[in-house]
Amino acid sequence: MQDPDLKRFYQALSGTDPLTTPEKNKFYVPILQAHPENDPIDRLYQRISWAASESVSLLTGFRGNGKTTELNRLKDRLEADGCWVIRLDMDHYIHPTAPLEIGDFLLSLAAALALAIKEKSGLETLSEKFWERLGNVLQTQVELETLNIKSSGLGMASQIGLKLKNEPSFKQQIQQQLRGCLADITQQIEEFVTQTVKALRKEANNDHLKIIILVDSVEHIRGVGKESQAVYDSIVNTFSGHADKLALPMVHLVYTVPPFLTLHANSATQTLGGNPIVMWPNIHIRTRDGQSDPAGQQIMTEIISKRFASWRDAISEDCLIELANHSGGDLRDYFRLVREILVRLGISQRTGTEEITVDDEMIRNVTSELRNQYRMMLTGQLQERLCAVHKKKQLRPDDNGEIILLTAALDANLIMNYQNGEPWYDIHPLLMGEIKPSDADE
Amino acid sequence: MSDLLSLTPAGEDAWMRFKQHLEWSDRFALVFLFSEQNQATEIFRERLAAIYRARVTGLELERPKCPEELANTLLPSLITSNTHRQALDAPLWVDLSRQRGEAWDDARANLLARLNERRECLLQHPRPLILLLPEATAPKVREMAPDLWAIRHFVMVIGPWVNATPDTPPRPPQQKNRGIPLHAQRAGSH
Repeated sequence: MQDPDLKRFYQALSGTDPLTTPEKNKFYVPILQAHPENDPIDRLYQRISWAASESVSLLTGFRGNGKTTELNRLKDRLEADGCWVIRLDMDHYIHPTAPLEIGDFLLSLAAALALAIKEKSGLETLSEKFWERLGNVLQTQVELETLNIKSSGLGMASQIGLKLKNEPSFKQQIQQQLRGCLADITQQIEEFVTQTVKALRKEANNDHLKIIILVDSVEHIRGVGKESQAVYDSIVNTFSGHADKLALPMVHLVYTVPPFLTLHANSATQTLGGNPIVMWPNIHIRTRDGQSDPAGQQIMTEIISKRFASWRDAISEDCLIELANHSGGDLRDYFRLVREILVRLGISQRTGTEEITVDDEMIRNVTSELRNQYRMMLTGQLQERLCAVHKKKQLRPDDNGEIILLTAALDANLIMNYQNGEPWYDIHPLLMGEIKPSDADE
Repeated sequence: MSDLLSLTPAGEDAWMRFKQHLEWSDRFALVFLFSEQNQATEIFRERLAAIYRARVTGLELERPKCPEELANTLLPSLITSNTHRQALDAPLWVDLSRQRGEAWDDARANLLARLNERRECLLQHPRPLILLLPEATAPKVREMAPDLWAIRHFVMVIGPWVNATPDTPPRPPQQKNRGIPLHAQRAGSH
């Protein structure tokens, strides 16, 4: 393969933005085709289709493993059935690393919801009036003037949404002041949602029109540095202690939540109707007993084929599969490894000393670089915990200390989740040599 | 003056890979360089600057002089939508690797955390962003900026890649006798 083609191949692996209308998108590869019974999106689709009036579901998955693309697939399927669906990207409304409280979360949700409904349905007056009423409620509890909130209606929604996302001190003040009026805010949001549903049904001339709200990117909140435990506790508290406030009348809600919430999930899922948290897994590149999974490998190969059809001119299938195995089914790591290989091929062409093909040594070198990036996060305690996960293929923390360790490991992609058959966990394959074999084999 | 120094074969290999990644990146790409090796790092920067000197837009360099600059000047300049910057296609080189001390550690951690929060603004830049940090921060970056770490394009730890004996031409005696430390000579070159 010549340099311009290597460059095009490299660039084809540089973007991992979520895919819209995935099943019609040329890059989309269904990753659970060998186990459709395990498809979490099918499960959510079925839950929503069967639920009579309203429901709440929680979807989780690892960073960058395609949740938003899959939510778009769920949206397409529900819309094909005649449902009315919106996806809210909460990245624009939630501070990603500050502790969350139910009050500011509801306010962020209210802003996202009003602006999205105005955008999609044109129900501007309804959205405007909702925020005027909400502004009146806030006025009684929150010193809006001193917080520099001067607009009203949807202008206030935009301003508050932006401030909640960008200004931790504003968020803190709002949290303190909202504690006294949670019930009023919840009531306002519920009334707005009820009126919106009625208006949409009237407009569609369909009394049974199903309304679905996909609340995406909530899982992007995470603890950083000294505040990390406070942030994790706040997320658990929001989704467990206040789970009842996350349900809204006459609509079906799907929230994306961080993977560590599965460690604390009982109270949340009980309150939210008993639906277990649905997990979008990594690509099942391996089996529970440590063998390669040919179906998963085929998917990983197809992903490259869709992005760059003539990839075989640069790398053999065996080598590509080896890189896929080293990535553990994580797309970002997979693309990183392949890009690094392409860079080395490009250099060898430029220096032109000899024809270089991808060989074991080149693969060893690129994987060792990525391994080093994971290795530097390891501590002795974490190594022990990873050892236990590798052995048991489950998380099952015994105490709060273990929950903290596992939370960090899940967040850092050191632990991966698969779903070929029953869901199971294992450590990143590049870390296999970093845990003590004697412990792992006990 | 680092043009008087040369890289070891391992350094040349790393430089080639670094350059190739940047040449092929056609959109925003976040590059983490970790370094305690000022000389090798400076060779990388000067070579990169030389490549872009011949183009319409040169390599842009940010090297704050005091910790306060990170929050007050550097952060706003990185996250503010700037049409001039968006039109540039040369990489942006942000050097935060040299200074030591608690104030700098805190300022670096704070900058990374804020950039992590505003990563969507960074993604608007259509060119690579090279963040040069002390090697000692490498194990903490993922924790300080998990979302930035998740979208890292590539990572390199700069090694001791400068040849012990500079491949330099003979100098006049008076220059040899000045006794100017190498790092001071380099600092004067940019």
